[in-house]
Amino acid sequence: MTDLEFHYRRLLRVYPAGHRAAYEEEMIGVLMDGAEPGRRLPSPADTLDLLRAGLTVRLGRSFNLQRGTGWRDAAAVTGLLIALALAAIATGRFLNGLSLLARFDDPLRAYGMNGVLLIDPAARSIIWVLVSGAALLGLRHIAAVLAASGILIELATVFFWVGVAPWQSLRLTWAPTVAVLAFAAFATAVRARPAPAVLGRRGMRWIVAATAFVVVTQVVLTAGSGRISVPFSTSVLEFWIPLVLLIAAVRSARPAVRRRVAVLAFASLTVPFVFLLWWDWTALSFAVHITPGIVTSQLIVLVLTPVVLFAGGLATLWAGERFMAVRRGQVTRYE
Amino acid sequence: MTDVPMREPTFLVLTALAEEPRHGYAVIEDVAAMTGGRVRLRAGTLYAALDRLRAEGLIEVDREEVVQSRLRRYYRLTGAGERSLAAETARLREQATIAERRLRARHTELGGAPA
Repeated sequence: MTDLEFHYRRLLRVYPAGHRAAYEEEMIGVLMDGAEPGRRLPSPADTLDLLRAGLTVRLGRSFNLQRGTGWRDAAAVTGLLIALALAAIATGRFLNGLSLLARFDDPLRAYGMNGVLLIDPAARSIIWVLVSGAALLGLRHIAAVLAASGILIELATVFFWVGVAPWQSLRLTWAPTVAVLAFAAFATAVRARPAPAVLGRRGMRWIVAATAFVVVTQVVLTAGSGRISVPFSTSVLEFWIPLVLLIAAVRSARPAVRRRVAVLAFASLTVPFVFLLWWDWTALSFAVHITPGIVTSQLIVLVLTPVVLFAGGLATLWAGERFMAVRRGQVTRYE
Repeated sequence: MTDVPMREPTFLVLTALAEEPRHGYAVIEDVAAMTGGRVRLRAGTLYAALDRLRAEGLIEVDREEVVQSRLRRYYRLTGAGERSLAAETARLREQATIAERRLRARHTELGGAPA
């Protein structure tokens, strides 16, 4: 083997193994035929061309392998799950506000007006209930447009609270972040099957059961506040049981889709937990004044949390699916 | 087959194979000759196009030879490839005709004077 051929073969390693198995010998022949006599190293133009084409094949192949594997369907279901979660949180706050108004005659006053503190939970409840409704009815475009409005409402809520309680305002910033993730999921799912089609009738029954359970629980707990006591943490009713019902719903999707829903939903819905844990620890333990450093670090946490969780989930998913494919003895197109 | 216009390398590769089955290096040489040396395909670009055209069913392997201990694979146009090349040729001709007609009209309106 000449030096030139050796260098060409090294360059061709940028191609996936399957592509090399199919074309390497042929390409080496073409490259050697086209090389000027006496050349020992590949020309810069050939080098760039092979790197560009090899990387394109690699990226294109990764993309093609992921096409039709259920990411869009998973995004449709994830969008619905996020919207339901945001609706549940907002309606919980709204009902709690009504309860304060009724039981303690709390005027919920802000900016010199009574009842103003009910505006943001009311607006957030309405928008996320509408988004959930659109997603449940399979109205993909409308769900995406409403989710975009949800981002604006969540941002407006953050700015509203700046004048009322700045610390609370910063603490609320997880909500626009999750709203952006909901919008991203719905925008991705615009060309997918709607969530009801992905989950099937059985899955939708579990979704309806989870929604009904949350509604009844919230109403009963709010109405009976101070009179009803449960022998366990209310988080069992407000969080764990709905979570189990939603997991049961997702299990109705085909395996590839439900694995992707797990990755997407985990990356999205863990954001508030991670952020609030970090924020309460920072704010309650160290911070005295709101500084640009605190705001910057909270933005970094908000951006990095879903990215890191998604990357971790994706790596686990790919490793798991690759392992399963190897076990099943699947081979690539080139092999 | 799609309605998306073909990229030039794809069009030229199909044109090279329309005459007879050719191996990779012969395609490069023929394309360079057809275009008066303006287009000289490089191996990476050529094999990206050949792989894609094979996957789309527009070309197929005709035969393989070993020359001086190197593999040479000859490719030929399939029926689908022929139809695709014909459709693209018609599209280009139609556009060229429109451009030609407009240039002629422009020349006439301006009384033959350069604008």
